[in-house]
Amino acid sequence: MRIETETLEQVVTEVLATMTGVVASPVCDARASTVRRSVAACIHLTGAYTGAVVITMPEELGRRIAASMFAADPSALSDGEVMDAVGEIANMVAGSVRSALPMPNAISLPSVSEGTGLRMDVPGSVAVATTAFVVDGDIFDVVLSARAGEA
Amino acid sequence: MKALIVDDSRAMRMILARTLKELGFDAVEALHGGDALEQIAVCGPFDLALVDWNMPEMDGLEFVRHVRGTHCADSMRIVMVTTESEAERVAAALAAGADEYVMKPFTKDALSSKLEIIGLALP
Repeated sequence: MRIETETLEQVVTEVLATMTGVVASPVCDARASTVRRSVAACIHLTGAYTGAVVITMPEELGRRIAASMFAADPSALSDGEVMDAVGEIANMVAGSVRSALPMPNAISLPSVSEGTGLRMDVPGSVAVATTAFVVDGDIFDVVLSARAGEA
Repeated sequence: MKALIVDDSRAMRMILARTLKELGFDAVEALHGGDALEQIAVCGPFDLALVDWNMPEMDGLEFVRHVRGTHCADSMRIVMVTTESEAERVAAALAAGADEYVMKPFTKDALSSKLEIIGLALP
């Protein structure tokens, strides 16, 4: 199974622009820094395609994205609201990407973590498409993985 | 007109509530299908329900089947607002009694067009 990185980039930029008004520009050879406090959201796909979509971003960026979804000041949002927003972004990205993947497949509810030095991994899977974006100087990344053997 | 928003994401409920307000609806929120049934019993009747598919406790399809099967809100139009894009799933939702289907991500215009199709566009 192969999915073009361009497809993943297109999906992510469309989801963010449509639902939050945030403009994300793809960047090459970059990953989200996990030195700072980060938020990572994961959606699992199961069925004809088994894998996951993981989005990792600085907490400050997640907070700004959440603020646009809640129409609120970033500082007024709780950690839970930030995690909810990033989880929903991951949900929409996974839902859009899956149409380019073998069907039928089902998507899980989001799993979201927050912390410093955070890197969410899906054991037994390998990355099939990785892409990074910059928003106002903050870099976030999106990884589509597949169960080893399906990649 | 009165609308019920059924989505487990608070961020998505906020976006939908804002969009519906701009379109002239008063919205009540529910966290999942079971919560939505309680809202129908307490705050109903509603003219419209916007329903996510993937939710804990009672998912969107189960909610639609329950509402249509028990006739607890026959006049309520149901629009699925979901990332589920597979043709078979869209067909299943419509067969269960959903009136329309909107894919996430969506624009205000896309939602408005669907409401117009089912006769819920305000002048």
